[in-house]
Amino acid sequence: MNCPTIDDLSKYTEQLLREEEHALIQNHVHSCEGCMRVVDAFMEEKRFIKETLKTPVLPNEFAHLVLDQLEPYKQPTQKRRKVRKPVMLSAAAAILALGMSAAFNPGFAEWIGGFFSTGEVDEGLRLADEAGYTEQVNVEATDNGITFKVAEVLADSSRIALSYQILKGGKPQDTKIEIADSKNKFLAFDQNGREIAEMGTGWWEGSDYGLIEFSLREHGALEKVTVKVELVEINGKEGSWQLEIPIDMTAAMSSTERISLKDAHTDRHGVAVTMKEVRYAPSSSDLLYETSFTKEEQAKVKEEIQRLGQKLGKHNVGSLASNGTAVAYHIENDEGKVLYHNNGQKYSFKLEDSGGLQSSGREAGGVGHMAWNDSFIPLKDRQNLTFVLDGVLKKVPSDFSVKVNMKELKKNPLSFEYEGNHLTIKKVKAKNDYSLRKSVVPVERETNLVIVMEGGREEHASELGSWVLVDDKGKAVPLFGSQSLLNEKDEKGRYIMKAELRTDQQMEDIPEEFTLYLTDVTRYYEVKDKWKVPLY
Amino acid sequence: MEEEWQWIQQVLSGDKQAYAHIINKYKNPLYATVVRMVKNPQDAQDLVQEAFIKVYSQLGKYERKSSFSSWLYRVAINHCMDEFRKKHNRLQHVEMNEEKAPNTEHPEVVFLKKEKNRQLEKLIRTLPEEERWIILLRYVNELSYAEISELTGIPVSHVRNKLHRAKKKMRETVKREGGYFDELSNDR
Repeated sequence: MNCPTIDDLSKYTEQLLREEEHALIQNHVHSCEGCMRVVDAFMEEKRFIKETLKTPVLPNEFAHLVLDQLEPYKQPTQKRRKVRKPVMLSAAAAILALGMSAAFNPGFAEWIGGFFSTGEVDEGLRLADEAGYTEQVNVEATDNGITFKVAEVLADSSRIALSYQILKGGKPQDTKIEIADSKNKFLAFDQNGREIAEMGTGWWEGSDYGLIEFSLREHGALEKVTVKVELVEINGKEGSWQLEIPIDMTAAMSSTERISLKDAHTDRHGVAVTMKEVRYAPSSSDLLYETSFTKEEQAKVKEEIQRLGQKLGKHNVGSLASNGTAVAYHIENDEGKVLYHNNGQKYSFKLEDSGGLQSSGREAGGVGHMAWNDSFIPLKDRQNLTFVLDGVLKKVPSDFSVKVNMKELKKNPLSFEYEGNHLTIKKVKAKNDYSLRKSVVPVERETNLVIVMEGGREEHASELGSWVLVDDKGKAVPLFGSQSLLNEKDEKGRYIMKAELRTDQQMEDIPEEFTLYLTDVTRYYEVKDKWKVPLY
Repeated sequence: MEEEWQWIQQVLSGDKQAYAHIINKYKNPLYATVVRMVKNPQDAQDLVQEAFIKVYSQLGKYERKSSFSSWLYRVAINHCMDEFRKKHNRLQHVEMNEEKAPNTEHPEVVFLKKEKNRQLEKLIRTLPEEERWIILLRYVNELSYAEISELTGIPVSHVRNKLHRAKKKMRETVKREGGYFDELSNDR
């Protein structure tokens, strides 16, 4: 065979030739030094193009920027879920939520005696450190010139916290560890090898130290915990950093006082509250209680769900069966001074101002039955504390609907009010988008309807839930999208609300007229004659 | 891949954080392609962000009938293509910042590489839009010719021809204008 043209050799390296042509050239190239050189050059060119075009890259925190804008998919019932706006211990960098402030001076922690003694950690950890629960461990692993060092461990019955440093040539580096990428792992196991999965990390720009924390609040008595560090990438460098840190939990466990609240019980506005236990640990005080619908209320709610399901389709009201009850309360001392409070409302619950550390709830079986675990910063001195019920919240089916006429809407935006929510439908538009319900390629486009609303919400107004659109032919379509409440008030003193709802099914045209049905609403009921439970 | 399927299941059962695995796996190739189409890093980052939000919203609809990477690129790149076309006229051209490369090589080698990188970026920029997409989807996103064809709607034989033509054009430009890159383009 004569030498192929340059063009053919180029096509050969790009696998653009037919099979038989490719095989012919392959045979030739192996026996022709000149052609081999050209193919090598083309391969080098290809490698160079690939390598060069794969940069630039996005910053490490990009994933968090995206995640911050997403709502979790709705979980099936019975699964653990976090309801309020607490520190989400399973999330990376979640501990940041508690607001770490100023940058940290290099060497400062050593000078004053350790990271847990600084204002860079939450007050609970600082108090536990002061009480002597910190152990200096200083274990480290080094690879590729980078050292990962665990400096201190602080353990009590509510959590295990570890401070760490990343060092290069002995100098502290940026402490951010990417754990969203599953290859880097911080793991903890109890004495029976069961994993303690509630983990969070915290890092601060400019700080020499990072924080790893495991929550033990959902775990029973622990004798021993082993923390394993398995890192494969630090600050963009690959390597292997592995550490195993055994922690004896005996002293930590005995440092906690547990007081049974003997199932103290009350029913208010259809919500039953049962107090379970209070735990005073060195780094956190935890209150455990359950909320549920009363029997009568539960029967009523079930009946309404059924009625609504018949009207709008069972699958369109499915989310109503999950969660549903919560309480607002405060904790005061003997002098009536409020030390902690929890207003129970997702949107305006400011954990950092309430003395709170975290709040989580899981569905405990049955419509509206929730088991709560709220943690607060411990007090320096023990005081007699009392739980005071301020109000109850319940998520119930709603009978609210609003009719939209497109011709009229084009002339004037449509405003409505429902239980303290003042909203205006600004725009209804058809949006042509890719449908991936039929995920076989090629993907087809489909038209969805987008409804844009804006307005304001009064202080204790009900919280609006999901919406269903029923068109002029009676077809019911669920609406998805976001409803947000800003921590900012309008000129009428209402919290600013914005919602963009969209159908998730093909809509041929915008119907001339349609009705929006609100399927559920979370209502707040104040408890006027305060119900009190001593926490001592 | 089984791992990806597990992440998807985790996300769909309410574990939003599991989506970070998917983002981290695909964000850079997606960004590297998009930034060369819109030419403005901030616009590109915004577009990629929107694309991942879109993929997230559609995740429940992925049925494993095609590979996940090709499905994800389809959703994401289609979104970017659409937005790119919409914004095409108003997007400003901004020179991309050079990435800091770890300086482990001889200074002269690093300099030569930088020159070659710059030249390649310039060559890519001069390609017509369609050819540019094909080069990027092939080299950065590592899609097959058939996948590129599905994504762009260009018949697979045309995809092959256009890729070949694009590379030929780049080599010819280099030959005409000279530069560090032409050491690879010497004809016989």
